[in-house]
Amino acid sequence: MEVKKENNRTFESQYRRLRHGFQVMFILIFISPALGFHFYQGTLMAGSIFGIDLLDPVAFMESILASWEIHLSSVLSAAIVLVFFTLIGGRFFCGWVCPMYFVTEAGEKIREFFLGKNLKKNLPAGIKIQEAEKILERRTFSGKLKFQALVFFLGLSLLTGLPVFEIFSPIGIVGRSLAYGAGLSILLILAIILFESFVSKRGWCHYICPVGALYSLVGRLAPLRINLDAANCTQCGKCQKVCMVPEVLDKPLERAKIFRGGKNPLSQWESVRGGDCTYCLECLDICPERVIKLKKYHSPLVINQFALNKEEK
Amino acid sequence: VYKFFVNRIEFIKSMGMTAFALTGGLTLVKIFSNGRHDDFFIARPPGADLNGKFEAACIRCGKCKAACPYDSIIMSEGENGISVGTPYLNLRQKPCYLCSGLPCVKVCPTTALDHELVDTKNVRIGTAAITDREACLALKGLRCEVCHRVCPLIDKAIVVEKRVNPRTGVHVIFEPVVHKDKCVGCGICEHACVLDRPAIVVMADMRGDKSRHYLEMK
Repeated sequence: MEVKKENNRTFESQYRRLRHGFQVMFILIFISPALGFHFYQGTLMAGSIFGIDLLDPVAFMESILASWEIHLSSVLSAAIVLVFFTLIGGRFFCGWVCPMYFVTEAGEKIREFFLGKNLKKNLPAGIKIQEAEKILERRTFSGKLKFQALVFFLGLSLLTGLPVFEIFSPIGIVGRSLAYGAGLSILLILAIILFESFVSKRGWCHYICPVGALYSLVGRLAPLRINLDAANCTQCGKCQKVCMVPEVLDKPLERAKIFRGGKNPLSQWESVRGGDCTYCLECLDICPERVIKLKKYHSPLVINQFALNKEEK
Repeated sequence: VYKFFVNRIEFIKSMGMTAFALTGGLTLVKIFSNGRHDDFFIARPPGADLNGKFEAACIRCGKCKAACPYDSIIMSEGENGISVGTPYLNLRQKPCYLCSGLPCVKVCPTTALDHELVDTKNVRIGTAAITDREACLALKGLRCEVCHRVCPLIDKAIVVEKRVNPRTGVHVIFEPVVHKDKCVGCGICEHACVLDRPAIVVMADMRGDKSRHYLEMK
């Protein structure tokens, strides 16, 4: 098991600063009515900015499935959001807008506090270090789980006649706490922080959040992607270490490995596939060769596995 | 789908996971969504259909609260068993002042608040009723009638009926009487009642299904 502290803490990314700026800006927008500004009304589930109504597409679907009624103007407000995040990149929402980032980050901080040199120091009596490491292990599950969760929550809404996810949605709770003040429901957020720290790293966003699942689905159509220069990549793996969703870089790195050394690559630019990239852009900064760029999507060319095997022999 | 479940162990595992998730999910639903108007009356914002439709469509976004200029709408945190995140009104503290145009209904992104409701006269948050006739000052023979004076539908929803005070034989009892076909349930009377525990309170709309007497049921 890897207990080594990741070096991404010491590394300062300009894009991270920009992203944090955006996230804080969105939080300020949600708080703004309480501060006396009136350009934004509502929370992250639904709101109107400068009179334009916006609606979370998952909440929209759940409400329709549970009540069997459509408020027609809400179709437009949900469509605006969905189309915007399709164009800019689905889970851009997760990386740049969603306030849940700070919740999962808090969980990550707790984990790191225990994992660093503090692990030995804070060990309660009677617990062996291996056991403690096992508790703090970064459990991973199938990335498909969130799509199942999306179907599950939508199905449950249909069956129970209640918008089930919205009932305890932590995004909703955080949003309402920011806009109208926190209450007892913030306990669920604390539970998620504990889950993040001791069960799975960023597990909520990776495996459960149906909002993220929907944005991940539309993110597959995103025109702009993180691209890896397959011909010049040195396979140092730093990008994966800094990445919030390391598995999205698996495929491009694997292909880059095949084309290593610029040996007549089929396609020089290998795009991140699927819709799980959050566009945090930290890989752009950390890459020592500067071979990762934000470019248009290059659909992957089929590798002739037979020819490759031959070449290796 | 077949490919996904091709491995039997995988299949059993996923079934187990689904069962676990279902139990967990339903437990969470139970904890977070009690108070479905079956047990007691909850005053919801104007246009809310209390017969299940409101709970089904409300996405707990809080736009109605943001739109309310009087800050009457409260977002529940689970207090008193009201489902978490749903808007409600504490009429005794702050009633609905029936703004023209009903901004709370207008901003609702779903059908939780009925968008066909435009006229404030058709609002039915509930119906006011004098529940404590022994405490009501007007019924004791005093000139109170505060509920009648503050009613936005004065002499329509709350009418003062006069009759002779049988105790003295010469004085008049000015009894406030609520007309349930006119009352919108705004709760301004409940808010204004001078007693510590209001003698007039808003209760479930008398014409709703939930408040029907069992003898009326078919």
